[in-house]
Amino acid sequence: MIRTILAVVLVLSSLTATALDDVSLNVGTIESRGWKLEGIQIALTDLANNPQKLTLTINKLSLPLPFNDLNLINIHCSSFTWQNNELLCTQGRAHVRSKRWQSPAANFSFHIREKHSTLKLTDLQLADGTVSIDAEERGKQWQVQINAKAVDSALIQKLFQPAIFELKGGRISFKLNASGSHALIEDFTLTAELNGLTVQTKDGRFAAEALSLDTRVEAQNNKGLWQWQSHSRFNGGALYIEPFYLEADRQSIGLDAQGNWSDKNKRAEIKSASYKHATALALSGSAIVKYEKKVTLEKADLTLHSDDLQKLSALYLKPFFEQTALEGLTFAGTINADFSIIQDSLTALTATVNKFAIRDTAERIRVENGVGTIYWSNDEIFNRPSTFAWRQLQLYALPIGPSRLLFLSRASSFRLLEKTHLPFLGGEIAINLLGWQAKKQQDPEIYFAGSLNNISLEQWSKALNWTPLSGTISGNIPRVEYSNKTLSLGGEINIKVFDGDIKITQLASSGLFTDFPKFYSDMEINNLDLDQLTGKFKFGGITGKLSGFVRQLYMENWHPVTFFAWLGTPDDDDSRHRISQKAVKNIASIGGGGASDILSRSFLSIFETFGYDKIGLGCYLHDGVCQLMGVEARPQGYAIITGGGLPRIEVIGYNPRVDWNVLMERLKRISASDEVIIK
Amino acid sequence: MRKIPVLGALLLTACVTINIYFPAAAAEKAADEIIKDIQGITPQKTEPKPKASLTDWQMTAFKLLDSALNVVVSPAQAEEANLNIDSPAIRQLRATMESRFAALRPFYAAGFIGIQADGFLAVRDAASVPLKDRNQVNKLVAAENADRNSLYQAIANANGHPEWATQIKSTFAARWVSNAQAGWWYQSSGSWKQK
Repeated sequence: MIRTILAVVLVLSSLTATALDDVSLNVGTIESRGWKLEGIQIALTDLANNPQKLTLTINKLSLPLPFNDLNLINIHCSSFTWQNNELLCTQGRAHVRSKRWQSPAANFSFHIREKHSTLKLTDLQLADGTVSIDAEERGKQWQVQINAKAVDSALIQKLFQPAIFELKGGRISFKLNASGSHALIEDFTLTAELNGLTVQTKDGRFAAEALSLDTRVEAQNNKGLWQWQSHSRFNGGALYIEPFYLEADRQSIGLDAQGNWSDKNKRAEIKSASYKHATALALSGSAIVKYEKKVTLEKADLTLHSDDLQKLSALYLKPFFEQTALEGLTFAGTINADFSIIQDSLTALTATVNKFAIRDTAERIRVENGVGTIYWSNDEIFNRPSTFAWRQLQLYALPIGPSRLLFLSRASSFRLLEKTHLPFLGGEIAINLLGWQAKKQQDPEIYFAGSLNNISLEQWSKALNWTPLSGTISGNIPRVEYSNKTLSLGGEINIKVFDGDIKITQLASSGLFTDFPKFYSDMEINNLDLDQLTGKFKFGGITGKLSGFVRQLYMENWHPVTFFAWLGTPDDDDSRHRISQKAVKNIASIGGGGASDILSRSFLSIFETFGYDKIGLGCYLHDGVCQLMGVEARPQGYAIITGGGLPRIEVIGYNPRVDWNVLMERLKRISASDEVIIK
Repeated sequence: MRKIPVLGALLLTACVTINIYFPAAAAEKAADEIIKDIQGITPQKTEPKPKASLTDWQMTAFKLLDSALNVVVSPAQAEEANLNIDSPAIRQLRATMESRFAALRPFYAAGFIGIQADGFLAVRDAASVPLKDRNQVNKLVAAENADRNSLYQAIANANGHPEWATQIKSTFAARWVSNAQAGWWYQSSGSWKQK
């Protein structure tokens, strides 16, 4: 019922003594179920004319919940009716006042009745845009329609201080239809159009630049459980949602979802969602999200499809790879994957890849034309085998030919299920055993057993850009295991190469899979055929045998730090010992000695090859310096080559200490120069 | 009462104190060496020139005095303490930080990141970083800070004094600022300043 607090003052006024022009009535305050009109004055004007005009002025109109922040002041209604329990203003002007917003005068009308009231405001000025409001109340029910057009977001910012968002530019248009009962919203539909919006949160973790986005959200409140549907299209600009950075190119990005949400249970159920980013990514599925103390993905079943893995990896994987060992990796090809997540952890994955490629800016790995299906589960007894085949695989500079792996991947482990032969540099690598077990915050555990068969050293040296070598390499690698940061050998690695053999023992490594691996080993070298070793060597040809050792080799990041090495003619070697002039000169220059000068000036330069008795060079590397030693001590140095037969030659090194880097430089120079000029 | 000679007292106290405390000067030197190396600055070696103002007899007298002192103060203790900055862990961290520096450098120069008073990096104003660089900047800063922390502990460990990590950290804090290049930002008395 409309309650009228009557402080009625009837004022009759006349401009002239003869006629009555105006009649005005001060009503005071009228209140009706949350509506409150204060300072009401009703005037009947132009009494002389017919029909007379009834006008209403109200100082302030307060609205019921949930619009109680909004007041209309200086209301002037030029067309007004007041009947029993009914107030009607069909044409009025009013100023809007709220805590945050003051609008210049806008068109205004209202109709207040016992059980049905309406209010309409049009042409409201808000932040350089226009807003119209249409509200209706019927019994306990109400509904409102707000239509805002091209509201300037930067000006809006000023109305909402302090804000968690910083709006810098762009226009917002939206239509909101909402209905409810008392202070309760029962349903709403929001359609918004963001145009060139530049916004970011104070912490910078969410930001948009010149964002164009269309969105529609519909929601119905069913006793505290909201059923909702949403459709969003990101058409232009750039978006940063940590850690992702997305730019809307020609093809838009869209998200459609529907589900329910209960604030009481702090839980949102996404019954179906579909996210599509052009050809890069189509992700669909369902999920349950809880947000009690932190946001938890309680359960999710998702399907992913990508026709452009390259784009997918650049946009959605690269952000996670930054500053990790995976930095620099990109993928290409297509993928279809299904995966499940429970309590923020991946529990199952099935992924089929086609034309799959891996590229790495650091050139650690390269895969081309990969195809396969990978099944994985966090279940320790999961046993569905996976396959992966490739046309091309390259590890660092070493290419591995087409092959196929049959393996089992479950929890944090990987195990090869069958013996595999990988074509490798003209020969093959046979893998009898291969297993991997990832460890939390530790290096993984790995085991391997296999063999190398007839691998071409020529191709090997070419791939690694080494001085060309010839011959093949074969060898048996017993079980090698890497666990507790230690590489251990179940036996010796025996490699047959250059007609001799190399035995590797005491193999150890730590941080093998970090960017700073440390590596330890001992090696024994027996009866390598120098002719084969130096056959294609720019170093120059030598015949004879070579034996020796490398002890206590310690490498950091694959660079030797310390070792004690000796390579020389074995004592019992009865093979033919000849050395070419070029080799003599090069060996002499290793020690930085002057033997080559002597050679070039002497008559010996007329001989192509020389006989020798022994050849040998040792190095004890420590603190970056190589302490050199030869076959025999000489008064001022050491003999690297001792003569035998005619013409007899002896190369003596005079410089016992050479900087390791200098030594490497010298070796590089030797292997880089094709010709030896002998004057 | 018998008086203890002043010189004798000094010598006795000197014996006890030199090597107990954290070698601050050596730490500064080590910090400079590491930071310059990470930032690719080759230190210019300057040979200290001996002062020529001393006459021969004065030099001889000083040398004699020096030898006399060495009898009392063990030369090992009087020697300038050095900080060991060579261990596998330190080498590894230095190598990583050096390779990261190339990526950090443009962000230092652009003012997106700065050196805090504690020597760690901070994104000065996250909102000013271009959106496409934002994740990279955050990740770089986080990784660099983690490595700096590990480096301080690694140096402390390499010298057999794990408890020195805090002092090493504060020594480094000042040296990062000192070695900052012109135009870089650093924090001083709570506010950002540009070098």
